[in-house]
Amino acid sequence: MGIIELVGTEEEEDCFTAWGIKCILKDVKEKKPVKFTHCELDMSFLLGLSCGIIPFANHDHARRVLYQAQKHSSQAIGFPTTNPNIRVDTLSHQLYYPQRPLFRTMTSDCLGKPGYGHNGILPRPELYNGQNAIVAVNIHLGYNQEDSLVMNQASMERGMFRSEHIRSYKAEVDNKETMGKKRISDNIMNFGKMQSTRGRVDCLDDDGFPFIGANLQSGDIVIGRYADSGDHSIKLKHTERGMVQKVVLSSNDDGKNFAVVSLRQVRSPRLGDKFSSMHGQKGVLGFLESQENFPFTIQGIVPDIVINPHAFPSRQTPGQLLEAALGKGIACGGFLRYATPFSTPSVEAITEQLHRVGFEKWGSERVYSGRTGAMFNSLIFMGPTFYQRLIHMAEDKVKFRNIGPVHPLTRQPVADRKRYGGIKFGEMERDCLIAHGASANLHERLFTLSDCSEVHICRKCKNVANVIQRTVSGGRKIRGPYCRLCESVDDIIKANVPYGAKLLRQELFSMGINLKFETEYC
Amino acid sequence: MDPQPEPVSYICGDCGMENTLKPGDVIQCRECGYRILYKKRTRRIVQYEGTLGDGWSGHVIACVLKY
Amino acid sequence: MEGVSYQRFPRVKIRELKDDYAKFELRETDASMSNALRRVMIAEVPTIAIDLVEIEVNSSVLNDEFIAHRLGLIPLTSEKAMSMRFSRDCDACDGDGQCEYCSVEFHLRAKCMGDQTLDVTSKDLISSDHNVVPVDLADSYAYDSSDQQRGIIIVKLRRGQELRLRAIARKGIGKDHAKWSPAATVTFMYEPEIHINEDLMETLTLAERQAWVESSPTKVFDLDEATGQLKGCLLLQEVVVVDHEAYTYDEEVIKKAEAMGKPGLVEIYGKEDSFIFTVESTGAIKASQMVLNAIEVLKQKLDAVRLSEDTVEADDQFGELGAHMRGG
Repeated sequence: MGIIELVGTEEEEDCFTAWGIKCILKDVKEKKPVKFTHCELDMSFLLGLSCGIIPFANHDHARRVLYQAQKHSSQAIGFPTTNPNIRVDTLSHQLYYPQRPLFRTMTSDCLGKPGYGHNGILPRPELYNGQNAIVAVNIHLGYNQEDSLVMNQASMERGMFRSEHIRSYKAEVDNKETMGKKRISDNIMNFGKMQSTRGRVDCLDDDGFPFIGANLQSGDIVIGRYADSGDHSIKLKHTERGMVQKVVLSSNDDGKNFAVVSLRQVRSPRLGDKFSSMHGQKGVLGFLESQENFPFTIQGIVPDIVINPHAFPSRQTPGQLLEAALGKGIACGGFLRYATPFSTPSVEAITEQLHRVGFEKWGSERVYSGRTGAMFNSLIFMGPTFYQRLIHMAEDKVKFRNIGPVHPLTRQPVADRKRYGGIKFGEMERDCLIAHGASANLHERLFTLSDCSEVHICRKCKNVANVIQRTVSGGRKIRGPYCRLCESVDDIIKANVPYGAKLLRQELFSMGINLKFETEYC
Repeated sequence: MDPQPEPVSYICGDCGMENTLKPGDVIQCRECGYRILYKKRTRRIVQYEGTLGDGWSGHVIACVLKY
Repeated sequence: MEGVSYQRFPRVKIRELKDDYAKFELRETDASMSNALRRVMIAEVPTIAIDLVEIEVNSSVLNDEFIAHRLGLIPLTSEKAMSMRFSRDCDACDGDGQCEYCSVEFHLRAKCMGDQTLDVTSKDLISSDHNVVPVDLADSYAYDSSDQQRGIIIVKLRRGQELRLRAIARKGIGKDHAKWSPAATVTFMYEPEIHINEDLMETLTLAERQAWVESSPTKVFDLDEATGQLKGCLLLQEVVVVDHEAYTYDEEVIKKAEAMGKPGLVEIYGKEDSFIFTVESTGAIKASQMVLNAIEVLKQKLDAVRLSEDTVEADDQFGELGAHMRGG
C-alpha cells in the first residue's frame, strides 16, 4: 500500500479522509473507532489550488473566499505563459512585474519545480498574479468611498500594476496550391497593400501587413487583403488600437495561407480600473494621488493603496488585516512566514512578531499628513497586502456616442460598444424622467434622438396613406401621399411617429390586422 | 511618407532562415519546410516619449522612417 | 502690530551626512515649513532622466515600451540639473528638446554573441556628457569586488538577441513623473518630549517597570543600572529615557500604563517646532545637495509669488503682511 495516494474527484466520494492527524488521534480517545481510509497531508489541502493560496482563508467569510477563488483569481492579470512571444491568443494580458507574496502557504510551497530554488530543497514558489502593495486602511479625501481605492501615482509611474495587452487579428487567403484548381473566373484573394477608402494604410508594407512596431490607431487597416472584387481588408474597430508586436504567417494542407497580426498595448492603472486583494475585496481605482500628498510614517513609508475601512465590518474579511500585519512582520525580517489556511499563526504570534521588529503590535502606525505635515490624531493601519489587477479596465468599457449607426430594422441607435453604439435608456430610466416630470427631455431622448419618423394619415378613413407614385390626368406622374381607400389626396396629414410604431403597424398589417389612427391637430 | 520599400523578409520559426514571399506563395520556409514564419523587424526607428498622459504607457509621438 | 516681525530664524543641525543619506535637525520653525521642504524634495527638485527613446533594433524579450520605461527609471547623476533648462522653455532648439542646453544624448548597443546570457545594464549606456551618467551604486557602497556589480540591469539577452537605441535625457521634476524625483526617502518626525511621572513610577515594582519598558516596540526607555536604589530588600532600578527619538508615537507605553492602572505614568508631546529629518537620495544628487536645492526651489517659488503682479495689486488687502512679504 502506498503511503501517498493521489485521489481523483470521483474516487474521493468513496474515501473517508481524516482532515489531519489530530482527527485520527482524537477519535481514538473518544473510544469511537473511525476507520479512516486516508489522511490529508495538510489541512489546507482539502481546498483546491486557488483557495489554498489565500492567506488566512479560514478567518474570512466563506463567500469572500469563494469570490477570490472563483472570480478574482481567474480574472487577475499575471504572467500566464512562458512562451508569450510565439503565442497568438486573440486576447492576452501580462503583468510587467509579477511578484511573489510575502507570506507562504503549504499549497504555494508545493507549486514550482523542486530543486529549482536556491538550495534545491525547498521549491521556489511560483510568481503569483499580482503585486505586494503597501495598503493603508484610511479615508482619503473621500475618493475611496463605496469600494473604490486611491492609488499612489508615483508607484504607478515606477511600474506598479503596469500590464501589457496583446490582441491578435487573423485573416486567411488561398495560395497557389488551390489557385490551380480553381477556375480563373474565381475571385482570388491576396494579402497586399492597396489604397483603401475604408481606413489608413500608411503603416502597411507592400505585403499587406504593418511593420513591426507600427502604431495603429482605431480605424486603421491591420491586414491588407484584396481581391478583384475589391477590398477585403481587416480594419480596427473604433475601440481598438496598439503597437504591432508581431506578424506571424502560416499555411495549412488545404491550400490556405494564414496571417496573424498581434497588437500590443501597455496600460498603467487609470481611474476605473479594477483591483482586488486576495480576500474577495474588489474595488475600482477612484483617484491617483501624488506621492507627497499621502500620509507618511516616521520611516517615510507612503501607502501605495488606500482602502476604506468600511470595506471590512460587513464583509467579514479579517484575513486581509491579518495578512497585512503578518506581511509587515515578514518584510521587516520576522521569521513567522506561513499563512496556510487552517494552520494560520495566532493573532498573538503576529502581534508579538510586529512588536519585536519595532512596530505597534496591532499593525497601526503614527502618520503625518502629507499636505500639512501635522500629525494625525489616530493611528493608521498599514501593511503590505497582496493585490491583483483584474482584467476589467475602464479603457475597455468606455461607451459614448453622439450621432452614430442605427439598427437597420428599427432605426433605433445600436447598442454595441464596438460599433459606436449607445447606452440603453431603458424603462427604469424612463420611469425616472416621468417621475421628475421632465417630459420634454423624455420626448427628446426617446423620440427625437432615437427613431423619429413620419407617417401620412388620411383623416377621412383614419388609415395610413402611403407615399406612392401615381398618374394624374394628362398622363403626368407624381409622387406623394395618397389614400388608396378613399382614392384621394384630400385631408391627408403628416404625423410624427416613432419608427418602431410604424414598423409595428406594418407587421400587424402583414398579418391582416389594420390599425386606424385617431388624429387631432395640436 | 515615401517608403523606399526594402523587400519584406520573414524569419522561419524553426531554422531561423530569412525568406521572401511573393503574393500567392505557399507560406513555407524554403530551407526546412516549416510552416510558421515571423515577419522581420525592419530598421525603422520608433520613438517613445514619457510623461504624457499616464507616463510611459508607450505613447508614441511619431513613427519616423529612415530615409 | 506695527513693527512686529513674523520672521523666524530656523536652525539646522546636521547629525549625519553621507553621499546618499542625511539626517538633520530643523528647529525653531513649524510644520508648514518642514513639510514644504519635504514636499519640494520629493516633487520639485529637478534631476535628469531619460525621457525619449528611439529604438532602432530590439529583439530582446521585453517590448519597446518596457525598455523605455526601465531606462527612464535609471537615476542619472544630475548635479547640473539646477542650471540646465527645461526643454519646454529652451529657446535654442525650437521645442524639439534635443539641444545641448536642455538634453543629454545616450546610446546603447548590445548584442549577445556567446552562449551565456548577457546582462544589459546601465553601464552599457554611453553618455554624450560625462557629467550626466548613470549612477554607479558601487561608488557609494562597499560592494564585494567578486560580486561584479555591473549597474542596474535593463534587460537580459540570449544568443543572437540585440538591443540598439538612442535615448534623450531631459531635466524634469518629480511632479511630472516619479522618475525625476531625487528622493528615495524624505521624512521627518516631531522631536518628542517625554516626561516620566516619577512619583507614579515609584509605585511600580521592578517586574512592572520591566514590563512597561518592554511594552515599547522601540528602545526608548530602559532601567538604569547605576541609579538602582535599595528599597527594603529589593533593588529598584529607575526608569530612564535612553533614546527619546526612538519613540515612534505609537502610544504603546501610554496604553500599557493605562492597562497597568497607572494612567499618566508618562506624558509625551511632540515639539511643534523641532523636526528631525531623514533624507535618502536615489543617487541622482547628493542628499545634502537635495536639501539645498529644495531650499533654492522653495525660494524661487516664494519669489514668484512676491514678484507677481497679482501680489502687488492685492497688497491693500493684506496690509502690513504684504509689505512684510515684499521683504520689508
